[in-house]
Amino acid sequence: MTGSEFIANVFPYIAVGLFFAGTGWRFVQWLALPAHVKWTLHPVPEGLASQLKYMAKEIFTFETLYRFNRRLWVGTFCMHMAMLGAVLFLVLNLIGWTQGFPVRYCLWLLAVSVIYIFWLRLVDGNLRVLSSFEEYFNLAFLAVVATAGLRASVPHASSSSRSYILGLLTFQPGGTSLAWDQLLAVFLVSLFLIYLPWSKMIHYISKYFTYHHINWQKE
Amino acid sequence: MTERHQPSQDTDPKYSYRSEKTLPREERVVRFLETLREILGAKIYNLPLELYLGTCAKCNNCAEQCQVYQTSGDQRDLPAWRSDLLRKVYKKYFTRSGKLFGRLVGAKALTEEDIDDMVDAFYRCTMCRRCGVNCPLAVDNALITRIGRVLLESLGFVPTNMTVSTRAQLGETGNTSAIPKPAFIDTLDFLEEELKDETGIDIPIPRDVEGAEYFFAAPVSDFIMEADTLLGIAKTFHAAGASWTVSTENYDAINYGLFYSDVVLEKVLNRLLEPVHRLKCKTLVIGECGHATKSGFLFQKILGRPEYRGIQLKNIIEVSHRFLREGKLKLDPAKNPGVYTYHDPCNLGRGAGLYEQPRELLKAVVQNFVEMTPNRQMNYCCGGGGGLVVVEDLHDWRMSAGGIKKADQIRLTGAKYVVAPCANCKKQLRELVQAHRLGVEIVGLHDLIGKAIVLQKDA
Repeated sequence: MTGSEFIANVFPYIAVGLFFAGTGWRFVQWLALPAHVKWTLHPVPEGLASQLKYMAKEIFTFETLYRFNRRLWVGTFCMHMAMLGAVLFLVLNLIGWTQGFPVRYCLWLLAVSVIYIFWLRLVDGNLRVLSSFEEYFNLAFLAVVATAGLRASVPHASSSSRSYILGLLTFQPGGTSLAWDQLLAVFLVSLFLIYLPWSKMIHYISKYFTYHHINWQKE
Repeated sequence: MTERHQPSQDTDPKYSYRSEKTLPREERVVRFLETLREILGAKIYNLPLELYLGTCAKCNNCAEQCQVYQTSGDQRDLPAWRSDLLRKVYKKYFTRSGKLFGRLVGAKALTEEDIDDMVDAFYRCTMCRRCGVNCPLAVDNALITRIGRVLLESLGFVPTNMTVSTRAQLGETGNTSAIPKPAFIDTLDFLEEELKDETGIDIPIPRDVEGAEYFFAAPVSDFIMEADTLLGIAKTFHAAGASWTVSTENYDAINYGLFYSDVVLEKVLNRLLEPVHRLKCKTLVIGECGHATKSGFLFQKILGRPEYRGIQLKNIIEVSHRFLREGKLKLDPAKNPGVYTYHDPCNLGRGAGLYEQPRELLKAVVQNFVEMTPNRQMNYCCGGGGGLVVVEDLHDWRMSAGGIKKADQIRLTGAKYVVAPCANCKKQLRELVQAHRLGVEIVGLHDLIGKAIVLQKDA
């Protein structure tokens, strides 16, 4: 097996496996921590429906940022919606409901919004003071992934990205004919998936704990 | 700076408040890390600490909600920056990524200068938790401030006023004002006489009654300065026909441990719970005091002795509100003319969820009520929260960066009276009224209930 074949046909499975294993491990680690001091922050939404409503609103609108930090909200909202949109439209594309261009639009939006946030962290005095190498690295990593994805999503004569992903999903990987830019995108996306659970971007699960186990703790 | 703000000789003049005995500089780093290790070993903060220190996105949303930063514009008052002081150290010594990658992941070895920054920063936060309400990731910087202060306490950095009061409370008298038992009993007798003079009815303040349903504990300062609040509470219990008692020992609900020490918090809390358990009372009712309520509500189940964990805890507002709902209180709002507004004490609002009950009580006892803006979970702190109200050295800070937002907020209501059911808030607000010539009067909620309550001779 050549290096290219490994990246195209094996590495994505390893990355997805490590992503779920890492996320699961961190979830279980946090869940297993001993009972902590009660640190409820009121008001607590009453009942599961209210709590889900609050979370959904926050996840899909970033209302808290919208109210207090509009400049950052523009970038953050676009970045997260672009990520969500890219995944959603990719799925729709794979099942044949949409063309590939909505995914490309989302990747464009992702790249631009990440660069905007990066710029904002550099020019806003307070954000600059607060930002460490890690914040910039995460944004740069995401920008590179989005850009690579954009490049790879351009129709290729030799191989279709859609066919390649379908092959992966049906456990019949056929990435031997991938172009270099497609290979690079696969490599970077896989790396990002491996990195994600160990970075502070783990907030896709940490929010469950900070809200449900701490802020909204009743007893 | 006035004379009272001059540091004493045994104080390091670099710091803004007086501490009694601090460790020599060269010993501080080692002790700090030892204490942090002990805190993590105690395992009661691990989840919030790990999440708060590990996942903050540094979006700075907290600063937009912090009244201190909004006033001072000082970098030291950025909540995320302050928390970062501890975050860097935690990462460096207690996380794998920090040990491996150091500054690349925001970790940094602790220095004596970092500790200087912490001494300054952690006592410029009122721990009001307003910044946590709209944090997208639900990070609460107030807890990090609290842990920071616990760490600093191990180096000797605690405002002297807090340690002196706590020493008295844990000593022979059992209260922060060091009032001897006979003097306290005289005070109770005096309050009973006042009740008789005012109402013509014998309204007892029961003492050490075994089996009483409600065990009432107020901050001791109420017995010295807030007689009207206590008279109102006694009338409320009496009107409701409740079985209640106070203790003549360990009756002081104040718990400054909440602001700087788990060891102190635990000792004080258990001293308060001991007579409740001994007298077989069902419910401990905390008076008009925010931090005392919160220290009980949040820490009873984890720092209270196992035999004390079954005791119910209530704030007096909850009890009075229940009496109101049950129709046990007959109230005449005409007895409280004028325009009233309500200050949400941070520890009763964000800390205990008491937003609507005090408003329902207030609307039942006054004719004209106006809201402050903002209010409830977004209300501004009085500016003396986190125990800073007792730190005389920080008086000028409390009147400016700490409290100016509150002063402006009060002025805009046009109210004549500000109702604040918290002893610390009352003290700070009265100082603000004086410093900013607000021309309003600060009163307790039960002061007004006491005036409005209609008592029957045979109640």
